[in-house]
Amino acid sequence: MQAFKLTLFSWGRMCLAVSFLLINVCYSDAIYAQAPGSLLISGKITAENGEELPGVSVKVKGTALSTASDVGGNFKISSSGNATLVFTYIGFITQEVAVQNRTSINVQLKTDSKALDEVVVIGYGTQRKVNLTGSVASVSGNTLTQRAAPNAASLLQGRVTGLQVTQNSSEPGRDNPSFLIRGRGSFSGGTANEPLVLIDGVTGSFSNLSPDDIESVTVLKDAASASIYGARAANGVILVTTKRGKKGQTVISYRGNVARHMPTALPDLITNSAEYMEMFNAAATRQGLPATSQYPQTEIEKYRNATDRNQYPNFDNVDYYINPATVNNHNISASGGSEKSTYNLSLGYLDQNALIKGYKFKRYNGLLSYTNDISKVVTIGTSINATYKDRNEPPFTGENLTLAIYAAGPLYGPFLPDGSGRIASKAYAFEGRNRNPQEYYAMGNQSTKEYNFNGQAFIDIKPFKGLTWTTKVAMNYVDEYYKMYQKNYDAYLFQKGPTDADYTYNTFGPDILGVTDQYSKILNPTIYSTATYNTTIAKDHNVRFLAGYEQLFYKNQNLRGRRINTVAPVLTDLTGYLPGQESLYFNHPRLPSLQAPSEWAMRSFFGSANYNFKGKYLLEVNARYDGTSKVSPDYRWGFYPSVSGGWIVSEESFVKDRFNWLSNFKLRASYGILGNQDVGTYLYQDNLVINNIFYPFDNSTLQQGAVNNVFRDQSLRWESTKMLDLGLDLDIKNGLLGLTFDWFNKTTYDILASQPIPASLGLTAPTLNDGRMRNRGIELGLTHQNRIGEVTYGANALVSTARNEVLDIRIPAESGANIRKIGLPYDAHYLYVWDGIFQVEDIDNPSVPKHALNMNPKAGDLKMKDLNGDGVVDVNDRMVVDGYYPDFSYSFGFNVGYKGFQLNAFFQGVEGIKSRVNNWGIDPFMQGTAPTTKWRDAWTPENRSNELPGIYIAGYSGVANYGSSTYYLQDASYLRLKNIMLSYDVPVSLAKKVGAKNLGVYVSADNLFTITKYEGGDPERASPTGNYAQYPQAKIYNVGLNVKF
Amino acid sequence: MRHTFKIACVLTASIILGSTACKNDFLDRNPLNSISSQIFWTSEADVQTGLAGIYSRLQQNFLGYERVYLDGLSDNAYLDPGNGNQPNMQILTTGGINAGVTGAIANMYSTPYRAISSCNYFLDNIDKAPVSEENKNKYKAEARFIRALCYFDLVQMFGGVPVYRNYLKSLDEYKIAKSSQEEVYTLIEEDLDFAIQYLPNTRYNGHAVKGSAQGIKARVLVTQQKWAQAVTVLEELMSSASGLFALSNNYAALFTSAGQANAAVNSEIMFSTQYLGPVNPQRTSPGAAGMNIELGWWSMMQPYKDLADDYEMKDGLPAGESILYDPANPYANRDPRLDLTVRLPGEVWRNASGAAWTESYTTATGFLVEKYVDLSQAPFTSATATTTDQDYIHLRYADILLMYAEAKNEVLGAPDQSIYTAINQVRSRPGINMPPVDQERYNTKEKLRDYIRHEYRVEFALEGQRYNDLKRWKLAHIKLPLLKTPSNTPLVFNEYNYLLPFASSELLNNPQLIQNPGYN
Repeated sequence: MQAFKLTLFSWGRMCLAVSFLLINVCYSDAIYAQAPGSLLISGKITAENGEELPGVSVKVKGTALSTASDVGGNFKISSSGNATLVFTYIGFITQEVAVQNRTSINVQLKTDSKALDEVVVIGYGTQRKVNLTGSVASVSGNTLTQRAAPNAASLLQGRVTGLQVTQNSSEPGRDNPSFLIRGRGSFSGGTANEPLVLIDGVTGSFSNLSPDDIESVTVLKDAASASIYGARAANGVILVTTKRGKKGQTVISYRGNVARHMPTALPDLITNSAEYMEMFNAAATRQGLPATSQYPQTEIEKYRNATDRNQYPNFDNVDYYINPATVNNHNISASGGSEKSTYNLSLGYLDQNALIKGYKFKRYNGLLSYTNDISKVVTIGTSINATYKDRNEPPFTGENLTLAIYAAGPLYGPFLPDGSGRIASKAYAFEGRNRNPQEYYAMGNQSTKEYNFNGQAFIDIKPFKGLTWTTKVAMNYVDEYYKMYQKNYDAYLFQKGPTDADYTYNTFGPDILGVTDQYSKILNPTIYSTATYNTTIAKDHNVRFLAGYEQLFYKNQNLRGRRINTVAPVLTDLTGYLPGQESLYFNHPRLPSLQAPSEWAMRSFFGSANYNFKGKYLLEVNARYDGTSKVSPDYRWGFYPSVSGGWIVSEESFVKDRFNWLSNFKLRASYGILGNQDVGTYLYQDNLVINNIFYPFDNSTLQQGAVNNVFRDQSLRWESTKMLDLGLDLDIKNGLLGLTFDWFNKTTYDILASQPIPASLGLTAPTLNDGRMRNRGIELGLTHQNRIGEVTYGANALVSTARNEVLDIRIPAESGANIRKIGLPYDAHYLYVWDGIFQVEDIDNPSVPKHALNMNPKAGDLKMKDLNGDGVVDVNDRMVVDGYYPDFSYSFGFNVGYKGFQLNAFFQGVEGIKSRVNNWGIDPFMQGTAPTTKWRDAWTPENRSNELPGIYIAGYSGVANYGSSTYYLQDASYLRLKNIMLSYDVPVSLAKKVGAKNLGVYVSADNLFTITKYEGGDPERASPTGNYAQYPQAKIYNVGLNVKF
Repeated sequence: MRHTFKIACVLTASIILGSTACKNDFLDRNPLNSISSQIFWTSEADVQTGLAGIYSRLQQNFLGYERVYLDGLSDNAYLDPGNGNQPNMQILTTGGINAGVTGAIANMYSTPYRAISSCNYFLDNIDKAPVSEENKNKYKAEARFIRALCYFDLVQMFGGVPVYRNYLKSLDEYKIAKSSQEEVYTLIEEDLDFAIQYLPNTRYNGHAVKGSAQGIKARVLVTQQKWAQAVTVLEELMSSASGLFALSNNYAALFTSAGQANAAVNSEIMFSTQYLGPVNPQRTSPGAAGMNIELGWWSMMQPYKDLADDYEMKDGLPAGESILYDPANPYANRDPRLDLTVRLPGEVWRNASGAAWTESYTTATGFLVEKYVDLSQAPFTSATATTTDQDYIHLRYADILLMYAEAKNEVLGAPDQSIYTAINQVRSRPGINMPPVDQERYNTKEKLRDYIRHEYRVEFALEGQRYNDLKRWKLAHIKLPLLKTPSNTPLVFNEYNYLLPFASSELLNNPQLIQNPGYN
């Protein structure tokens, strides 16, 4: 750590040195032009807010004479007295000013909000938004940083139609959201459904970026816009562009954010010990458990009447272990450039404390980008993004510690009541418990240190007008060092018997004793080269051609070792341990999954052609030809074409003349084919396994053997997706009302899935292309922006849907609580239908159907519907229940601005999703988990509830046997105030006094409130099934400061 | 200006070309921790590795030590229903044989095919490797020997089965109709003839040798009742056995690791599945196990009284006729092989240092398996699993002698001396010393046939042979229903149970396959 700090420091110093060098280079350029026999005109260029604008291009119209403004916005140029000067600056409306023999001309440029949006990053280039024919959404970095979440990727939530962003957890360093564009596309889970994310055109990790370093994010949703990425684009593409310097004045900016994280929702568990014990006994009695498995009345009374709450606590574990946490985020950057070069140097630091003790995450970011026009035709540049992530955790992660907190119950705290500091395991010997959370802290910890380096260099060559040849070489390198450290620890029963001399020793002990280290690294170099040619033929025919080549290589390697014995358990290094009981590549469900070393490579040729006639009729063709190492040479190359067209109706004179309020009206259509390369490596090869294969000929030495275990089909191909998209864009009165609408039909085919095979094959089942799945949906975006006097205000709303349907599947599955069958959404809920509670008179009542999974029900058990009316509730009485996928997701926001004040509010929601969740926090006494307070109203013979069964101990057959029923299904729809932010920009004049160009402060809150029917926890979850207990989601209060110098 | 441009172009072009053009194999990527077939078969060492892979298949399920459990399907022993590694095996004896039952019966089908697949893969690829013709034929002969062993297993269990002579490339090629029993036997005999021709005529030392193939061929022939051919093969084998194969001088030691390492003992072993602790013992996964633990500790198989009672008294007479028989101590003075095969009621097991091992789970029949349990390793704990590495013996010289006796008896109209000599050799081996066959008493073909079958039972008891023997003698449906399980359920063996059913999933996944009669 110390060493790293030094490195970071010296590295930072070096960067600073380089940047100062660059700044000097910028300043050394003389910025004026003069022609003989003419006026020398000088002046100052400012923005509407008075800010001096450097780097504005000033041109004498109709000549080659040009210059640019200096750091103070000043320019000098010579021209004739009757000439016209043209002022051009990106983001501002170009202005033409007639000289009229003046020698001093001051110009105020107006910002062009439309122009800002106009150029969109697309695959291997940029395009004017009006000319897009595909379904492309883009978000600016400024919009993203209106929120201040620690993870850059989660900032996309609710910002783009068709992109479902799910924040699985707020666990520090494990809060990467999952992305899904236009629904689930593949049978296999995990990354096979995730979009391709490219940082500045090459593979990288979104969450490694500092949010402040993002210039823009583009999401390519349809086949037309994504097919230029061919076999990697089936699930859509997210293009992240990082900030680069702008020609002109140096800008040093700083943003600091301090956040306070709090849990959004937690279950309301009973914390009164006597009540807890009585409820437990009631449950145990109902289930017929013997008195030895119940709390003796004497002990209950001790808790009830205790004066010493140290000895007999009503301990609130949730309150003790889950607490608000502070998160600091700082970013400082220096950017700028001369006429020939630009640079941007940015350093970021995130220090994230956790809601649950023991978790801690730190992230350090560095971004350096630099470009230089080494001649009029050649520009070179580089971009280096380095990230170091340091994550420390207890030995259990994710929901595991949360559920242990729930499971601990109120009868004991973390430590023994005698003040010795010894750890309590549970109160009484008979209790069935998880480890007391404090035991986890005593047991050890785990840590992950990840170094991430993403470096790229490019060269642009523009040999003649219209042609750009770009070549980029990039390397993504990830180096990770993981450590699990556990030692033996002591724990005792909290309650001592009257005759016991000391507390009874009682502990589960560690589960992965000793030191387990893993080193892994990923190398991922990319090279691509594209040539783009733009031209206009015969005035009306605008064409653009792109041709390119790309190759990718990926390799991962890792080494894991474990040792168990040491004389000094405090030692945390492998070498401090005895050489016995050691193993390589030791695996355990709670360790990161073992990654087999692998490599793959891709080589691709691609191209596109755009044509537009008079800016009205647009046509675009894209194609990519991809070759991969993952597929056998005979089937290796895949072709992914797309075609799209657009008609800008508003450019037609018959529309323009009549409806001049219609600023833009475009109809779009696209169709194309995409591939999914995320299919696992080596699937087509006969691979001889040598791991643990031996034969001891002669009974004295082991001969290494090799066997072929899996049948491979050489004709394996990539999964493919075809997609039709119809859309329209509408803009009324330049932003007063904007509308974007898309309808899509996306079918994935040749889905890779395991196939049933005869056992006589003698091999395990191969993965083959078989299966089809469709997603259909619509996306609608609305914007409104207006200004009344000094008040600007706006509103926007997004809605997206995606309906999933399996069209073909070789092995349907309906054995569990989820069904895979043609005509249904993949993995749809397939459940028994809960029909209230068995009442006393229902028992042995012939008109009440028999329950096959609970043949001798007790009153108070769950009752199910006999759907087919045959008198027995069995597997044939399950039905498909909606809610595995949401009906739609949506967001809407408002903004109001007055002078320097700006108020933004942004709501985000998901509708129609239902989660089937159980265990800790919802099932009473799951490993001791206290019931929630609603269980006070549980069914009893007197309280004939039809809502809650009789109190039970989790696992009780009268409830647990119908775990796959709608009883456990909860509506997880929600609408939340995702973010509200109030910011104030100090007037420029005032800011100047402190030496700043811009100064802004803000307060904001994330997830301030959530409207949901979901009980006791946060409805946003990684999966609509599984454990109810989750690492809590966070409500975040932010205070922040933006300064620009 | 033009200068910069040129340099830039040349530089860029060279970067692109440098990274692409010179690597034609850029897209050819092979696994890093397993061997791609693309890079295998390039040396003799590769071939030997592939061959070891084939042999390693013998360590699975009923091709390995668990084969002893097949005795639990016969009148020799009762299976504890709790065997998690071979689920649903016990119910096969009480009428539970049907196409829907999974577990042990599925393993009986899939395990030989796993080995066959490995053999075919090997045979289809070995010619790529630079190996001398002589060695190549030897390696092929070993693979074909194992393939024959596996098809023999399948044909005995299931009758006609799908036959694959090659490693096929497409899934559909595997979905074929079953061959007839005769066709399967044809392949088996072809393979064994090839093996006999090319395997070295040496002592057995882990690799199949000529004697292994001859012995298995003989078993294949007697199973088909091709008696005369069997006699020919066996005579050839016996005449060349001198110096290669002989009966062990210690019956008990045949079934322990230490004994199997001793030349005077292992001379009897003609083919076995081998193990070697601590890395490659009988079983450590999914849990620590193996014969010592499963038989000696967990009592997974318990001999029936019917077996114990079948052993002669020391004088060579049945218990009922001998003066040595003491009803109060019924198992005293028996054929010594009884005590070496079965733990008798009241018997206390002791290890080498004299400590008693009393932790065995209760036996419901009153008997425990002693053969193959290495008491020198007691007390058995999960830690002893890594040292449990007795080889499972598929074929031993005693088998040759008894098969010879059986076949010769069938060929001749009346028994001749060579038959008695062969049986007597087995009975009189050192440490057993049972008296010779009473030639007066067993003087006809029929009487001697029964006696040979009896000798088979006691010699090979609890080694996994009895089930197939009862079936080839067509005695299973007569013998088994006479017995009851310890919980008094009668054993069931219907006429159609001579062949096991194909699993219903197999019929689904191979539509060409037709179910065996009686199971539809």
